[in-house]
Amino acid sequence: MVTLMKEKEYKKLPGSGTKRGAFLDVSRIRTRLWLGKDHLLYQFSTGYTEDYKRFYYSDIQAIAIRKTIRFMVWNIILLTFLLGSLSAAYSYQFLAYPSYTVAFFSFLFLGINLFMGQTCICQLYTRVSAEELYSLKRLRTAQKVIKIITPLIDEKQRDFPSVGIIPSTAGPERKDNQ
Amino acid sequence: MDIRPINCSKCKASLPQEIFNHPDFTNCPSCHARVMTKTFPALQKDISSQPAENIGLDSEAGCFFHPQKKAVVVCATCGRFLCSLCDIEFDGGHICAACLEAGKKKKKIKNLETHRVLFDSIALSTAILPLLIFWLTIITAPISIYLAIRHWKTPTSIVRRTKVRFILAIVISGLQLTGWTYFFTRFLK
Repeated sequence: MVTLMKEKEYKKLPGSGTKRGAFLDVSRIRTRLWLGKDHLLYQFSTGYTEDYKRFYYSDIQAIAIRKTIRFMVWNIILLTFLLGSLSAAYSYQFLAYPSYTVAFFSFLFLGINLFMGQTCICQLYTRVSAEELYSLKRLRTAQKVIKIITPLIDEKQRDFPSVGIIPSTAGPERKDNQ
Repeated sequence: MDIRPINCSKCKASLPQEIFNHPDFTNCPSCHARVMTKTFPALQKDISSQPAENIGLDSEAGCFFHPQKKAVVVCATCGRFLCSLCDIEFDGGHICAACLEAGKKKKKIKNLETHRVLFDSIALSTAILPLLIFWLTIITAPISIYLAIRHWKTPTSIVRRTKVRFILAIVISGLQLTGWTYFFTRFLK
């Protein structure tokens, strides 16, 4: 079938996040990664303007992920709210409706947090920069994106001489969600 | 060969190469954070630049910018001869620094653009947000229509985006203006 649609230049990669400013800065910059033909496009959007950074596959040296405790902290906070509001609802009749409302939203956000999985910080290294990828804040998303971009980077860097300092990436498949 | 250090994002200490490309998360030796690092061949690539060769024979072409250096490539944009120092590999071709700079200034090279203004979002917001204080729409509706028409062909986001925001802005602002026209003709006679 002949398709009349122009092939899309960029494909959306999973994950989006916000880059926060200073403590009292209310502006939130939304970030997202897009897959290009020969580069990754890192998009920063305020809603009315967009800024871009490009990471060419031939320039990417490493991707580092660090697990964070944010996932666990939010679980504890939301669980505390849930149990606290339920106990308040049982103890005080006049607090029943507001307590059930708080309990409902705590349960909802707890479920969402559990579903989205562990949190992480992901950094992308080139020869001249180390950029934090704010859109990859969940481990599952980060691993999914790495799985997508790794073959493209390997393809572009196929002819680069390896001096064998670092152990090869070839080998058994990575384990997910350690 | 020295390679670029990869630092732990928590304690900023340099991670040892033994933990690179490990299939599981490992502890940072300094802060014990759980880290995983995937490296690529570019980390070990030696990019020390090749010195430009001097012209040996009279028949050899010289670089436009360094006449005493041997030309190795032609700029794909302006056609000037370039030596290995002046050659910039970009988008699968070879261009000189002057064309790269000109392309960036005139926004002719899309892959050099780092900033765009989303006039479609501005037009739509100008049409919708003043609805909260309705009388403002008498001023903002024409502005919104002007923005939509004036910037109809201005490139918006580099990533995919349709004209739907412009269309919505024109429709909503058009309805507001129709409402105001009706109000003035009907009630202010």
